Amino acid sequence: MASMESAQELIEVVTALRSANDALIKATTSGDVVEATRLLQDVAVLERRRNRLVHKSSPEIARTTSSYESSIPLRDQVIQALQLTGRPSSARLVSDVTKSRWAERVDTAKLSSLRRDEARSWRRSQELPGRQARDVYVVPALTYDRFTPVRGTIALSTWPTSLRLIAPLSPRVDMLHSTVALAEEASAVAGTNYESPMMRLVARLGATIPGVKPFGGEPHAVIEAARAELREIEETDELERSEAAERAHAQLDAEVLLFGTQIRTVTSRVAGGSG
Amino acid sequence: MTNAPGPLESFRGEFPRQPLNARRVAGALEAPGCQRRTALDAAAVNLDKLGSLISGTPTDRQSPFALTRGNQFEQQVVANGMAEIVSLARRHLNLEIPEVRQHDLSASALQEAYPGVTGTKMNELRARLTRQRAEEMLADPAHAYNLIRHAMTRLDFGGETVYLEQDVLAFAIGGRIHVVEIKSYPRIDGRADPTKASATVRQTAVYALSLQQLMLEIGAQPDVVNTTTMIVLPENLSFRPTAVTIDIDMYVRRLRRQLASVPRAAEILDAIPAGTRLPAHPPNGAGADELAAAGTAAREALAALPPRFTDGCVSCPLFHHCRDEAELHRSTARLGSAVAGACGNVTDIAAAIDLAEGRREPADASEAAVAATLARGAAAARLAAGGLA
Amino acid sequence: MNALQTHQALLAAAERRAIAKTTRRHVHLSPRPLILVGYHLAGDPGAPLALMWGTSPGEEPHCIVVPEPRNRGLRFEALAEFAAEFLAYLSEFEGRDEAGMCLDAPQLVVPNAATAEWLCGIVGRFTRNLRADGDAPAPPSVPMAGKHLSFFADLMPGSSLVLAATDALTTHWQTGQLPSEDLNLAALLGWIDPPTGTDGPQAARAGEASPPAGPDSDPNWDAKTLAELIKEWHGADGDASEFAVRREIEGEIREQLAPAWADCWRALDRLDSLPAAEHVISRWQSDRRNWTDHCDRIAEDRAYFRNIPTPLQAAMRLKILEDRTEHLQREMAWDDPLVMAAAVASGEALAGRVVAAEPERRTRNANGRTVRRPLITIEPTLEFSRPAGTTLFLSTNPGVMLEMLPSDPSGLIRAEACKGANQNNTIGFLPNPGDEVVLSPYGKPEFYKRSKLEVIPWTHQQILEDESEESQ
Repeated sequence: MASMESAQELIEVVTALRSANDALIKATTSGDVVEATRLLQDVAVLERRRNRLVHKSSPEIARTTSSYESSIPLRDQVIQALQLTGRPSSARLVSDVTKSRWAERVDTAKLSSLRRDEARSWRRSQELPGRQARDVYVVPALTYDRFTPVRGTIALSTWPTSLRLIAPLSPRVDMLHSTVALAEEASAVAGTNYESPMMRLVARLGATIPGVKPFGGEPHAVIEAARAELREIEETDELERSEAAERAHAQLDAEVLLFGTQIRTVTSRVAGGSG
Repeated sequence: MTNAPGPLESFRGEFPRQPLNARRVAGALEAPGCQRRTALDAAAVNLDKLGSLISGTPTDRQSPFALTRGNQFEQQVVANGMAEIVSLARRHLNLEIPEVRQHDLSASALQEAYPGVTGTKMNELRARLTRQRAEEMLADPAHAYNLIRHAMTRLDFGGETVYLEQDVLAFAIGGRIHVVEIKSYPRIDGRADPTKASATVRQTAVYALSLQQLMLEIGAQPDVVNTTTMIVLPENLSFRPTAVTIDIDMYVRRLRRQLASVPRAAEILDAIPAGTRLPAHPPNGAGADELAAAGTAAREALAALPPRFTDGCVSCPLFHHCRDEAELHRSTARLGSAVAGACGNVTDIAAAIDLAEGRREPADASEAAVAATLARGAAAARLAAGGLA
Repeated sequence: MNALQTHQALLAAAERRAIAKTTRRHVHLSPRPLILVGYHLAGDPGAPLALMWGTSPGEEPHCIVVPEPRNRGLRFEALAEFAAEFLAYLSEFEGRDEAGMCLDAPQLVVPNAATAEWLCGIVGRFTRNLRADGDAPAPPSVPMAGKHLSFFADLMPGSSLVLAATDALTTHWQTGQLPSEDLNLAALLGWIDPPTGTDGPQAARAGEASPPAGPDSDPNWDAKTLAELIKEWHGADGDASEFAVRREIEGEIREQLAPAWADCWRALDRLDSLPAAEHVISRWQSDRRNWTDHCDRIAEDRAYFRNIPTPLQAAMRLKILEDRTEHLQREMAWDDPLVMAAAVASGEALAGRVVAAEPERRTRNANGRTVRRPLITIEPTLEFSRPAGTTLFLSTNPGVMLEMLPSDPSGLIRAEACKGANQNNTIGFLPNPGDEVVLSPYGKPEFYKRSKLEVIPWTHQQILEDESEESQ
């Protein structure tokens, strides 16, 4: 900014003001009304200019982040986190990602009601003229066989169906993919305040991957190890998921495709119940 | 009249309200299908204040110079017993206005006669007085007031009745109501800025429709309201008033259809989590922390209302907020109605691109159609890049 | 919006950077442009507040301010200062060649279309007929400048005499924001050219926060700063304090308009990075001719302007505008494969590979005469479903006209040449087997009904009746 120039200008104005005030005293005491009136006006002009310069030079926080980003609603925190992980994620992971990447707390207690609210919102939207649905919904992941909601996992409605279905190997596959995505993001935010928390998160996730040294959570190493393990298990998982997706498209209506089948038994606390 | 607040009242909570005006109603219909706006408009939430609170910057939306010029032009036009209007009406509407007997129903004009009446009570009073005056004007044209200024009428919006500020002049002459609008943008060489002119016409239609409804309320026919309206504008760059007349019947009918398809606000609020409400607006001089907290709470409440981001959103006080939200959601709507329309039910930008480039299987027939169209676009670009002339 | 543009918009949003819509530059860039930025008082386009202009990015631009924009005396004083320099700039382009055509034409560069419309359409319109007599007379340079500005108000699509930076940029780049957001020059440049360390959306938001490019000033700045300064002006007593306030206003204005000034130069820089399209030269020739004719009219005092067109003139003008727009689109497609790609994407143009050619083929035409109709068979790269009888032109040589023949089940497309490659001296233009070709609906104007492109614009026609123009 032109802070050097403004500082110089301010000094000039204050100096001019000082001499104008001195002259004003002389004119007033000597009874020169005309001169005094003129000087009064000059002083007023100079004071306003001084005030303006002072206001201008006070540090204005450069607004590179919009106020929207400075504390976004829970729903959008979740959406943002899921876009980063790119795979069905647990509430814990969503919370950790949000804290590490954006330094914000997620009220996890509200997450279960969020899932419920989303379903309700979608259902209502279907009843409105023109079926005005939202651009994206937070939805549960579904089991690949019975299409029931997987407890504690959330996904985005805009993802392909196969990605939202959980087959036997899926939790591990998804965790590995998310770890890769987070490791890449950690590299992208190198040099910022988010670097350390992201590195710690990546290290924690990477610790479970064979081939990654304990406390050796360097992003490249984690990515390589994760990809190595994926090469072994991913193909089977993709096959199972896409077959399940085909079945889902054939059998399910729009609501179930998004939110899963509801377990209609009254006593849902049966031991070993799905969901 | 029950004491329990309805869903709209509950949602608005202690956030300031403001009666709607035609500009706001017309603006709402430019961005149709937005449940967020519908709920806020039906609840008569002060949208400018909400916009400033959420964006964190107190913004004046109009320059003081533009306001002054507008006021000056209006003063000139209504001076000397509305001499200019009388003359223009004679020339352009073929209307002979005898001596103007005007009544001012603005809140400021009524404050003296009705001390202590504020807020909703004032709106009710103004609406009641408007109704009475209208009845008198039609029953006894020779002696009653023949011009009401700053009337307050009502409008059905999203299943709710909202108060509407009438910024037009409504003359009752010869058993009919004639609407005159005063605007301060210029008419240069016989043409006014088409964007401003069409906005004015849409707004006048709102006033006319509301007046028609008032007629029904007092047992008169809606066609008492003359749909040929007069708009007074400065000629070229001077302050000399000129006028255009326009038959807004078509616009009034379109407006009626649009209003009919506004979803029920009560239904919209039925779908949001119980207890969602706007915060109170911090008082003047509140600290940055207080404002930030209120802003956060407001954003949280708004998130429950589904928006519909389109090109028409630019004039809404919430524009930046909803745009940033659409951007975070990576939705095709962020790119405008043309792109969103071309992508149909595919609302996610990455999904649309993946479909175009064959990286994603269409889930149904409509996705397949979108994929095919976009794929052509992508392929054509690739061909061009490959050096084809 | 066609499929290609939609795809480009999606890509821009995903990559968070503007995507190139062209491979060439389709506007002429003058070596000596005049950049103009300015404000008028809110709500009063007839009351200029300030103008800033210059011909070099390195130098400090000239600036005039009207400390009380509603004061006609001050207004014409400022306009006179602007007019003198404006005329001096234009006079650099009066030199002629042996044929009597001006060696080069001026180029005005403004931040956006609204500034062009205000400066040329309104300021020009209302200064061109000012009288040198009467009360508050204006110096003769002002109406002269007004006549020139009025000329610049009435340009056709394809002209580069006036460049609105936003229009020029959106012709060549696709952003990931709303089309109406592209009207903000700073935001638009943010998408096209984000500073290192930021991306398109971030740079666009920073751009939005900067002072507006005009012709409307920031209403908050109006309320906070301008109002106070104008009040100070009114309170100023004597030359010294007036001078001081003037200096202050000029300082504030320069600060407000500085981003618009810099952004215009940035825009020219970005455009300069693209190689010129082929038809840019011929279009600039037209501009030079247009400028020359205008200078002739001015010199012979024939530069009258009509304010209100007759219905016939209005209709003709619309037709000419349509023709010119279509013509410009055609030239851009010929010059630029990426622009042509839009027609391929929409199914209007055929892209494919020639698999067979019969240069000697002859058929009988409707009169029974034997005519030479070379045939090419094309394997389409993208599905093309226009019917038999459709007329197409070789994109690389639009003089070659072809007609589609009925298709056969093989899916290959057969087209016969009707013109432009039917004789021994032109058969070489026929594509060979193995060639990748694009056949488009864009043909040379000879094949179209010629519109009267030489007609004098209605604004410049000599008026027959007395024009009672009040001095504003």
